[in-house]
Amino acid sequence: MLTIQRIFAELNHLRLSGEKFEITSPFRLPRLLTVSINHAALIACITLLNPVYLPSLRDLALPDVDDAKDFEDLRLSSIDKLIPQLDSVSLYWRCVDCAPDYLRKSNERTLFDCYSYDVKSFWDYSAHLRHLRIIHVPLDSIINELSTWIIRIAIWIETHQQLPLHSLYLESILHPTALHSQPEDVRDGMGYLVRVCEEKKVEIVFESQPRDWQVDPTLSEDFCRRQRGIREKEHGN
Amino acid sequence: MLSSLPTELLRQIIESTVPRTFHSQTYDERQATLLRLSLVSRRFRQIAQPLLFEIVSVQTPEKLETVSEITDGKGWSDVILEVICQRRYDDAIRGSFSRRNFESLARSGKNLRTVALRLERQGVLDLSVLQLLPRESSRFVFRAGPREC
Repeated sequence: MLTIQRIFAELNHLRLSGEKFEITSPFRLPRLLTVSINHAALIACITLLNPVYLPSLRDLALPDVDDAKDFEDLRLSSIDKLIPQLDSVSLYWRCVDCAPDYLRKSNERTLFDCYSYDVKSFWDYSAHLRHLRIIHVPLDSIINELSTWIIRIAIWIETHQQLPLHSLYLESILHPTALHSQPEDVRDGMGYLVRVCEEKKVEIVFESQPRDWQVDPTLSEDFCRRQRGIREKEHGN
Repeated sequence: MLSSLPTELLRQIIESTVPRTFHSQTYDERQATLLRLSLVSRRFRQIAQPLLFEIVSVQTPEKLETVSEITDGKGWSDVILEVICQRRYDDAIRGSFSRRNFESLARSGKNLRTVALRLERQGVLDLSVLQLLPRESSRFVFRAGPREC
């Protein structure tokens, strides 16, 4: 007698990007732990966002999902029922204020991603940010631009009176020990940012980040691990 | 000196020279390193060659089929851990990843844990291919074919 095993039943991680998908009949991925669905793939994969189909899911990333249309599409899913089982969520930061309630309620365990050029808008979106990852750091730009950029972030954190930020995720090559070959103003700028973050009790986490957001893992390993630890403690208590 | 090391230790050394997960910035170098190591000696090849297939990044369905054929042929059904399939907007080549490709993959990748699909320029793929289909029965069909010929 044939043993009925299941194709991909053991799949743990799935990343979907682009619009060339469809789901003709809903299916379960019983061992899936992490899923990343980008803006373009969202509507085609909307039925997947359901605890019935992803019973083991712990970390969810929705890169570049940020506008009203996306949230309208999400209403077609059961994401509101999925969120409570998750350890961590990863979202684009502009939805920090406009996201539906079920996403806002998970702010404490959400890592918001923003592009480095968004630094000018930090003041507009910072009221609810707990965890922020700044991506696409201008490493290849003119040196002055990098130091100016670092100082801008430091000033934002230093002067914002009610910033709820707990952690700031930066590209690992910005770690002070990795900056020895950079000009003095970049090293000074980073030193300033580190001091400001210490004073404001904002933890900086240096971590290798995705470069190609369509295929690289988009979830922060460190953030997922920390949130899992917090969750386990909560459940233990 | 390396040749006197136990195989398991040598394996750990070789494994530690390359990343264990996919990243677009390191993948090509990872594969190039493993290829170079495969050329060192027969013993190195036995260790490094399967590692080439642990993480597979392909841009055409034909390449995915080739990977399935090679791993099937070598009896490496437990080698593939991570597969990345890409059909980008700027790809000039034609062809679409299809249900058939993923059925082959499921046969040759019983330890597959991570799938990343970037499908921007191709026919629509029904993700239901990831659903719960009988694996053994599709294996049976696969094996029965050549015998009947």
